[in-house]
Amino acid sequence: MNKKMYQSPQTKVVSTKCVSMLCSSVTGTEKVEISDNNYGEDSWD
Amino acid sequence: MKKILFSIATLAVAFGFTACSSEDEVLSNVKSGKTTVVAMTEAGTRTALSDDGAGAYDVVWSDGDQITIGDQTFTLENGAGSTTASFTGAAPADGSYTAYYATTDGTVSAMQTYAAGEISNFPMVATATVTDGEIAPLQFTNVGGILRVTLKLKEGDAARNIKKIVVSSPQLSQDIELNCPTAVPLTEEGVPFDIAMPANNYEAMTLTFYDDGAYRCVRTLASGKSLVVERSKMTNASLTAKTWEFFGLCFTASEASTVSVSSNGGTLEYLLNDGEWTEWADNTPISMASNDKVYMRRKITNAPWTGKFTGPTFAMTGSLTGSLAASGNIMSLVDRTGLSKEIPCEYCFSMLFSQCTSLTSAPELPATTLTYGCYDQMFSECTNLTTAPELPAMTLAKYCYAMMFWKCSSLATAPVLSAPILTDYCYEDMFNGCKQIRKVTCLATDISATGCLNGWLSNAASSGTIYVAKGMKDKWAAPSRWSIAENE
Repeated sequence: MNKKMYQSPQTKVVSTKCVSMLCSSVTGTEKVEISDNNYGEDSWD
Repeated sequence: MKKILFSIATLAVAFGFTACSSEDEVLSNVKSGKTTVVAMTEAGTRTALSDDGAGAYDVVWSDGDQITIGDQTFTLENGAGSTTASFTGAAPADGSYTAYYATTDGTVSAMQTYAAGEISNFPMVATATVTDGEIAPLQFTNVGGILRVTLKLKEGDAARNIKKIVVSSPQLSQDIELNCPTAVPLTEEGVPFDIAMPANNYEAMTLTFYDDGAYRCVRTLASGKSLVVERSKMTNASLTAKTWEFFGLCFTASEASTVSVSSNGGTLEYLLNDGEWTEWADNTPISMASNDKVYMRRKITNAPWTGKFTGPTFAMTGSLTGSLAASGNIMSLVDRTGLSKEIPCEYCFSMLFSQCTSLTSAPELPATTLTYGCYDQMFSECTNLTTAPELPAMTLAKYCYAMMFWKCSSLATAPVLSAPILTDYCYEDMFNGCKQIRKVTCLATDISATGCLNGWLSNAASSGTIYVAKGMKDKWAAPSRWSIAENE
């Protein structure tokens, strides 16, 4: 499996000016890569 | 900022861990190998994992997701199914904060809920800057890693449905549980279960799989192996459910014996040795030879509880013959999975084994939520009972243990009584007539409830010692020729 290196997710910038004490915040997340470590049947008693 | 730091620190003290004041500090703790997990409600947040087609997974937001910034909570407004989303909430005061998702300080939740293709309570943090009431876009970073356990049904085995997975390791501050609201059928190809884990190099680990019929399968990391979970990475473990053991109520005969039961709490079923599960008609004795085992559980999965609420629910009163050792979890009588810790009705196990002189040992009583009279007279006049079960409940109910071991004349060791606050009549006559009992440990710090200790050691050994919580010695009155000492 091709391992994909970490990429910065989108962080789209929009206006977050508060209106009547309500604030909207835009968020991005980080990818989860596949580890090289695998634990098959032989790894378990 | 000071106000926010105080708020976080207060939460940290409440949960017993060290607060982190910044995203960097949270992540540096992770890198240092701390493996604290913290109990959270199962109704926590959940995140979907989406295969990006290139060997990695996007962490995408789900409807209902919430994040916290300072003392404010923000709820997902749009962006479900995407890595970028918009959250709405009330703005905190201007300043710098750590934004949290599924955590209060970066620790991993010990209680997680299964959903296919999703992971619950996967903690993330971000730096949040509030200026003039505006929050700069947040870039969330994963705190822990994911352990994907792909569990396979053993070839040729009967169907199994997974209800819970428990991850145990000396390097975890407590076990991590993945609960399945609906039991998940296993296949020979394997079913993946994703579990959020603190990043660490685990030198020992045990995975315990529970099905929906009070069976469990235990697999332990092989000796000499270690399992690595890295931050923001998915570690794969693939294994087969090889051997299942029943952990519900069991009777083992040491000579020719019979066991019989009547139930007002729904239909029961039994298994004799390696036979088939069979419905148990009320008061029908099961004959056992020496070394035979009879296993018991509630028959119908997910059936509504039908037990009586004003009287004993099950009765073996005087109906056991021969010599029988009970073992396993009594809760399989009221919950087919055996996983419940809540007693479902008043007087539930009251008098269950009363006058069963054939009974030599007691089953496990793991319930932590008790009810009125739930164990009242449960083992009364079991004159050959030599061992008592542990009593783990820390909150008691009225009459919960009243007369529980009344006239158990062979019982030599009392269970440790750890509950801090006694309730009305909770220990009334509990050990009355237990002539071998010479030592009782009761760690309560509030013994003011009405009748809570009435006759609890009447007719026990002629002398003995009550070990009590520190600072409580002067508040106790010992029976004649008994002494009071502080528990060490």
